[in-house]
Amino acid sequence: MWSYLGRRLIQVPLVLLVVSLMTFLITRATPGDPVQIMLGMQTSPEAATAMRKEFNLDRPVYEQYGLWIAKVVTGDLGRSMRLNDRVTSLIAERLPISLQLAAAGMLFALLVSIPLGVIAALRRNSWIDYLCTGYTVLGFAVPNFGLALILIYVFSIQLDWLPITGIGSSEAIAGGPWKHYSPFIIPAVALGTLQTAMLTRLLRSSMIDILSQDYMRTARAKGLLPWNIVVVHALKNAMIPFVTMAAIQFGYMIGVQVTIEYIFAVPGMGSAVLNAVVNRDFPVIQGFTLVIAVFFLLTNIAADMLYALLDPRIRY
Amino acid sequence: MASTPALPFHFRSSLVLAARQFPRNRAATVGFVILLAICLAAAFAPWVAPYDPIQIKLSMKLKPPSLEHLMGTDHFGRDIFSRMLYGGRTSLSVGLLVVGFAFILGVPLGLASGYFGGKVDNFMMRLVDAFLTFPPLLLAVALVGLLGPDIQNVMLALGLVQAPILARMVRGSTLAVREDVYVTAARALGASPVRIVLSHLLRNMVSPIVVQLTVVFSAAVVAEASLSFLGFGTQPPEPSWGRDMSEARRFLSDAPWMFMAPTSIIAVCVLSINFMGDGLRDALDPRAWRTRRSVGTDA
Amino acid sequence: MGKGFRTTGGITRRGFGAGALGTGLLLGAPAIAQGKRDLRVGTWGGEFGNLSPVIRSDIQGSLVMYNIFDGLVNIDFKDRSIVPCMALEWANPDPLTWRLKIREGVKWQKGYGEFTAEDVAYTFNFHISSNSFQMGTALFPIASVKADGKYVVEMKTKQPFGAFPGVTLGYGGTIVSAKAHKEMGNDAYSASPIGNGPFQIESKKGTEVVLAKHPEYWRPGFPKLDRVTYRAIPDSTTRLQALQKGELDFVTHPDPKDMKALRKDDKFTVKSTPGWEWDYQQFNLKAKPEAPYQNKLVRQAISYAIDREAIVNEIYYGEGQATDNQIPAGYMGYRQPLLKYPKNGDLKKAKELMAQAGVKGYEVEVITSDKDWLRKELELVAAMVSQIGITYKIKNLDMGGFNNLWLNQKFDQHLEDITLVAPDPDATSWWFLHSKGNASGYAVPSMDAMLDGARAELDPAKREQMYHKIVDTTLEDCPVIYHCNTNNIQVYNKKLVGFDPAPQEYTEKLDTVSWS
Repeated sequence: MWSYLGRRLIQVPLVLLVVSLMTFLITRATPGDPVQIMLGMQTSPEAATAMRKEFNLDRPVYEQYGLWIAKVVTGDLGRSMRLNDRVTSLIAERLPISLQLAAAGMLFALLVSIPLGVIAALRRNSWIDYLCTGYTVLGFAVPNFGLALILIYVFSIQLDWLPITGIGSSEAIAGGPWKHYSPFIIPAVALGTLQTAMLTRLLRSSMIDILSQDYMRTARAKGLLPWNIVVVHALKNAMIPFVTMAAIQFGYMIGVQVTIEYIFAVPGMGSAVLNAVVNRDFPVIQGFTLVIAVFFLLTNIAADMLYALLDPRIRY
Repeated sequence: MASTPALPFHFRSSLVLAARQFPRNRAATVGFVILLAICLAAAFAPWVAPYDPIQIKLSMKLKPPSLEHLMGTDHFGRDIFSRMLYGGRTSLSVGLLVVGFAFILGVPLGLASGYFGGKVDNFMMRLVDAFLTFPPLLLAVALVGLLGPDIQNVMLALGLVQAPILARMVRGSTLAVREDVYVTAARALGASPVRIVLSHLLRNMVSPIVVQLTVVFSAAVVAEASLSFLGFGTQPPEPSWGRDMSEARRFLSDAPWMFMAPTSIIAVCVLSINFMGDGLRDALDPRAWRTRRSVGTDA
Repeated sequence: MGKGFRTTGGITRRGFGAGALGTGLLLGAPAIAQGKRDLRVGTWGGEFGNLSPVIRSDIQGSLVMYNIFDGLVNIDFKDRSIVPCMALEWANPDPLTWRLKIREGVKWQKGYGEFTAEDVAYTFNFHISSNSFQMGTALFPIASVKADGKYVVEMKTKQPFGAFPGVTLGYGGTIVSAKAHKEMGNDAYSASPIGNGPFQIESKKGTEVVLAKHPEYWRPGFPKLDRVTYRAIPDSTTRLQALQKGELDFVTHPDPKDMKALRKDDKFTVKSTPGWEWDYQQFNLKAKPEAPYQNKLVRQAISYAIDREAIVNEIYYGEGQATDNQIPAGYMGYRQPLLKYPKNGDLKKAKELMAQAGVKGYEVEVITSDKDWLRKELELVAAMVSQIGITYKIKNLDMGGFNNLWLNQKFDQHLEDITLVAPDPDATSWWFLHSKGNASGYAVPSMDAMLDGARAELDPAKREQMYHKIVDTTLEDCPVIYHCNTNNIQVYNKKLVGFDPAPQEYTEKLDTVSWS
């Protein structure tokens, strides 16, 4: 297993190379001259030339990529064309906030989905199963921005319990724990509801699958195992797809925060990428994609490790 | 090779059984009927819709639901009911095409990867990893930017995001099922990989795949809305549920019906798909037939 | 489902209930501690990037920059004139020379010494040597700049330039500290610049900039606030809700839809000032020679088909003025908002013109960017022109995609808005109508001559007449169709006083603002 971990980690740079190459090609193929966009209508050809040279945009694509990779290896992700700031310092500002929001969303998803999924599977076609179905449908059906707007309307505007904005603002950070963390509540619920729905559904169906396996039914029929142990065993097995899905979803949660970040003015990774894409700020797109990819890969490796730990049949 | 003709027969018989099983699930039947109704209404929108969905009539703006306008009117005085009917064409076709795309790309990839393992698995999973690591929005925006803001590109982008998820899931299930006794037995008996994959692995994975595809469908409908929210969705004046929903957010407090109509239609649609998915899942999984009886007695 | 909602609601309500208790306990404290010398501003947009005036302009940074720097001249918004600021007086002894007298005793922030003519010369020469973006905008006519003693700057221009005070000194006249800029380097200076204005940078991170009072500010008694926190909140609805919930004190660019209700709210002040922002349609006259809109009668018909008042009412909820030309009230050359085309349009006339042009009806692709008000406006405009048989095929792009097609002239027709930073008619005309202007496909030698002539004219009375002629020609040829000027809307806590009505958010100075 350790050697498997080693092998997986060795593959990380390879995947990153593929990812960065794909990003590079996509950005370079995207119509939109970043220099023109940056400098606007009232620009002189000399200013545009100077800027192209500054960001190596006057060189062929493969040369640009080579120069960029050579710098990346040394930990330098370049400089934003629009913000005139180092990409690494932009990431340092935004990554912690995105991680906190993703963790808050996932925490909410786990707290709700595990009990709900298990109970729904055990009490199939009961009211709690229908409740579970209803909740998952709500999670799938209402886009997170729609849910966010409803939650804001109810909990911030009508009831006036929770703040809307403030994640990452110096005022909130200086204002004590409640002021610091309360702005996370609505976005985390809005963000985590889809994951809750996915995970509840998955857990419910894998629990049902396992409970209906012959060995389970035999064990129970023979009275070999008490009911609660059956459930624990079933849950352990059902956790295999659950953990994979949870890890994939967690890895994803940084990339899907964009709408939430937009509504709640969260200074996270997603909105930075969106702004960079809209403004064709290539160094930011490349740098942020790379970091999101690293995060995603690591969560996935962690998921595979858990997979092996949970299911002894799987050997790497 | 002699055993191959038996394969379609097996498959057909189980499909026949499943088809008999399906209507017994009432929720699934209801879901199927509602979905069919929505699809038909969208398909026959020009004949069903009482008004032109894009004709602006400012004198009629922001009217609450009434007999004249079943779901009220929007900020440009357009009939929301008619817009929902036409919007269904966009939203449902996005969902269906994304499902098709994800299935065609994701399932074979996942199966091959899980079954063969080793180098093939490694290579494919790295490719899947590379695709999955892309923030879906960036991929969508880049593609929409590259190929022009068009509904087909939105579909392509969403499909490319969903296919790797499906592939990974199928691969995970394959890994688990591959070690099951009956597969090992079949392999020991010298069954060809194609036969093993089709008649053992795939059959045992039909239910997770169906469940995942219903997830993909609803995710696609919802993702289209999110893209529209960020301004990368379908082009006006063609109505789409997602875009109408994102436009309605400004009027949440003064014209809530504008927000409620697309939101509830998306919800009803996804609800029906999910019920149908559940029904299919139970119908396709022989073990679930018995399970329901046994669990039913305990619960 | 009903049961479901109740149950989940029960679980969450307990959690939130505890939270609410927490709010009650903690919210009181900062409100007292904050005192009444802090201001929290919510602006639109994503992140505050470059704050340096010598690196390419960042729209978002500009929101903050004018409170860190005092430029060479100020704009008096009441009579739309250029008034002295760092430059006390300016004169041109001959058409190619400008001499500026610099204010004495102005201190740079954070101990960087006195503001002198050397700083002005250094800044302009840095623009020239680094080929900065300003060389294409405000500083293009400059040939050389030198300091003549500590308080006099002498500039030579390549050509006589009538818009010199407004464009060159106004838009290009934000000066950096030579000592700080050399010491810190160009890039570090952009993150944390040393200015001469009322506020200095306290901290800056992505979407938030905190400014503190400049203790040695040259105007005694100003600024009245100790600290200003700018936060970028992209969604206009969220921005306004945050203000209403007391998370902010002042917001710009709210959704105009909500202003009617907000004006009735006694906790907030709504200030809506006629702006320098246009909504307009532009035709690409270089592409597709066979396109029906190449006929000027068709373009006039389109302009007649537009109900400008409906745009102002439906899209901007009355917070704007219908206009058909490029000179807003107060600018040199202004006569009245609607010179040729009626505010509600004239469909009969439009149809006549279409018949006269012999055009039956056609389809054309019209692009716009990601501003949601423009997308709605385009839907409305498409409905208007459909009445004369023209079908607008709408293509909503993101900002990058739009700029690419627009600036590289790969579009047929577009609808956009634009804000101008200098109160001079040159800024509203030259770039749109001159054949060398980057975006317009309009190339008429007589128009070029008029524009260049108005630029070179130094006598304001003569310039004014020239712009009248330019506007009349624009209305006749319709390479650009103007719809309306939108208002700049500021909403703030009723207890705040001292806001100057600003026609655009980039020039909002907060030095006079205080809590009552």
